[in-house]
Amino acid sequence: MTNARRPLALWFGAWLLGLIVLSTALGPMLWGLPVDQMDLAARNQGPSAAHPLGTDQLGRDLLARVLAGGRISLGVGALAMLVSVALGTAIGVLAGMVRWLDGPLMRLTDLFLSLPLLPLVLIAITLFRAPLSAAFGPETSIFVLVVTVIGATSWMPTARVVRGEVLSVMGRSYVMAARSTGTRGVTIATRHVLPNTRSAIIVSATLSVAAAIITESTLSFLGLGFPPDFATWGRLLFDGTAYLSDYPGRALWPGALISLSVLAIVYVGDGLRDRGDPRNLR
Amino acid sequence: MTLSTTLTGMALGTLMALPLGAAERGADGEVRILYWQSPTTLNPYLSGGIKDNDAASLILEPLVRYDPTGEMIPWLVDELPTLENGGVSADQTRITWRLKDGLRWSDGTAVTSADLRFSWQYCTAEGGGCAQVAKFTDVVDVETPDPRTATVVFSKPKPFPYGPFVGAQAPILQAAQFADCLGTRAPTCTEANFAPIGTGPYRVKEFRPGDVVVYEINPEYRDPWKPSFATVTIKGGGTAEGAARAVLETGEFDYAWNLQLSPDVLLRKQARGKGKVISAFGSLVERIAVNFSDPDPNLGAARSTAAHPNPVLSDAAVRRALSMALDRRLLSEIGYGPAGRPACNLLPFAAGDTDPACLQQDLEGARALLDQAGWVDSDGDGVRDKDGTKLRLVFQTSTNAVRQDFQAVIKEWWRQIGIETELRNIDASVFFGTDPGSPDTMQRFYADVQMFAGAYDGTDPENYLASWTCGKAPTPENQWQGSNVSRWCDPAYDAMAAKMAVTGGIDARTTLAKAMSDALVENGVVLPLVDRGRVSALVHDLGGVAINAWDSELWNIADWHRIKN
Repeated sequence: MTNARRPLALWFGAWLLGLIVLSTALGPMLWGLPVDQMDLAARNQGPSAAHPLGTDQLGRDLLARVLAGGRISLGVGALAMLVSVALGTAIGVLAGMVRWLDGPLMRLTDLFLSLPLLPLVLIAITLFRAPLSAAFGPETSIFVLVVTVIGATSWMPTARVVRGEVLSVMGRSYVMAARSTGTRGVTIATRHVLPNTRSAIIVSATLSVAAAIITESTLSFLGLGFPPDFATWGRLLFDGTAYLSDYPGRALWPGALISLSVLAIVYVGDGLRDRGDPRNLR
Repeated sequence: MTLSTTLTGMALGTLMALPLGAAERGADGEVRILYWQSPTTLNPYLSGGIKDNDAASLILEPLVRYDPTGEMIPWLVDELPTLENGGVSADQTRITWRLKDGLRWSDGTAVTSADLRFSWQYCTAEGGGCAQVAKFTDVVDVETPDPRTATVVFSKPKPFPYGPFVGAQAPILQAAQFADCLGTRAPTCTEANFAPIGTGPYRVKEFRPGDVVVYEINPEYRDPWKPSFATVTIKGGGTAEGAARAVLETGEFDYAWNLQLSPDVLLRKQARGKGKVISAFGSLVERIAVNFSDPDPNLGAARSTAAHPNPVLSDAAVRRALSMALDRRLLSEIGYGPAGRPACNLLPFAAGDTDPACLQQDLEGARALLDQAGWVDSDGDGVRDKDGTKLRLVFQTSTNAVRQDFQAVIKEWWRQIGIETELRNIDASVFFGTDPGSPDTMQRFYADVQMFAGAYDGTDPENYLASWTCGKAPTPENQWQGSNVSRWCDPAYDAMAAKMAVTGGIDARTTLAKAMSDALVENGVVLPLVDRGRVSALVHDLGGVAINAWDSELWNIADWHRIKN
């Protein structure tokens, strides 16, 4: 019934996401204006040929800032997703395959799920900012910190979904057959379990990219996270809200890009799940 | 500065022009004033709110008011008592006030020194919860040798004895009306608190707390020609934005108070042509404080303590260069618009003798100064260094849109003179919080420079200036409590502060205060940026207004009038 539309969603999502990723990756090279260049004579200007999205309250080009901000936001999203999916998959597979680990690992998952994440993230940033900053410099350190913190606090849904899939796969007759022939657990995991839980992992991965982008924006929006002069979408949105009634574009552009990226990623995830689901092929 | 001087000039001009115009008392009808916070009582002793104090100032008056420049002017007395004229005793423990002749309350009875004595008793009565009790600190008695003379006696020498009965917060109450309202009974005297009998140009006609106050002329007011308006309405409630619209765009109201709006919003509303925006400057100065100690995290517990001088900012040339690279005019314009003016000094009354060079950004000069001091870019990375130390600073402030803009602009200017800046912003409740356990408070100052605003409460800068003395530096030993966040320590400055504590006489104190403020600025302890003021709006045909940040905004409402053309 919806089969005809679903590939469309996938293609639309992939196309939109590709466009956003490409333009943020190549944009700063093609659009030559530096991110931090201030032109105090050209403050608060509307869209023009020189500044297609206008300039902000310090005369910085908004297009350049949005493009540069996307690099950080998408970068944080992708890396945090890797951390969270790796953690979640490992915990889910272990819980599903090793019976005596199941209880403790799932209680740990419940524990993390019941923690209020935002305060936890704020505390982590307050505690670790200074030592990391000394080690990596202010910007890299906060990038590492944000990625780790988001990744380490968002693996729980993945772990739960993966465990469920693993349990159902473990009950299948071919896994029992493999077991009875003495195949080692690691081999069963890589040969049988992981391929069969692939679509669940991909879906959680896309969802966690979306969640990570939003968490990073929230942190920047709260004035934490990256230094104030460092453009990310969340930071731009935060700065833009002060001017919402006079220059709505300031907040709308980064806000729309956050929404569009998340939407595109969710579409891609949705489409991939449908593709990977063998029942859909019929 | 120019705006407020013109306004004062205008006010003085109208004062002189008024008798010629022969405007009759009450000839101008009604004036409508909008306070977006509503007055809830008309007794300033029971409320610390500016809205309540302002609304009461039409009725209740002090002996002395502050004018828009912060100078004291005799109000219900003919002469300000000083050491020179003998009004203040030589040991500085007694100040003698002599009331104007023929002063009457609005009910027709005479104002006497007993009313002064009563006002002191009222505010210091046990359980009265007086909001202005600080004004009467150290007062042990108010003697009343005759009906027009009152002597305030202090328990110890007071170099600045102008606390009691000075300014809008400490006016005189009528003893007869409030006699039964002492102590715990004070808040229960609703009738008296909502319609006090006063000496001011108006008396209450109707008061609905939290909504509106309607005033009519006090028939006993001492000047037969004033006030010009027969009735005054103060309407309360709404938002600053709505208040600005009601005056500047629709003209429904004549005056709107305290418009905390962004500069471009105000200017756009002003462009509609109905009225204009006016500002008054008190002592609130946005500034950058320089850390004289080393905030290096590797120092552990000794971080940001006087034991380790700052490797970069201990050099006076660097501090001077940081200041020279600032364009204060531009900062004031982008950040505060009509509510700001560039500041080169911490004390507003010293603004007149500002060094004009300070207002001029001098990037070339700053570079030359750094070159001379030996800070050169030896490895070509755009950042100056000397003996292996890079000119790198951490610049922190609270989270606030204007402050982050200032940070970005200042970082760029400092980059142009070869200084690299790392910006940090901290939530205001943490930054200004006093939690000794938090590493991010302004007292801890784990950065090289930080930006915030500071002020003193408008009477005398002694305590304010004393906050930069050596003993006031926050340290781990005093749980990081202390006002000298720069950890600057100069015996010469401490000596001036000690002298200030015993110096009497207004002129001598002013001279000393200026010298202390100059010492702070010249030594680069603080880099003043913008003098922040209060903004109100009025319609074009309202005359006589002289907005005042030191006293009630409505302090001279008796002089307000309608401009006819």
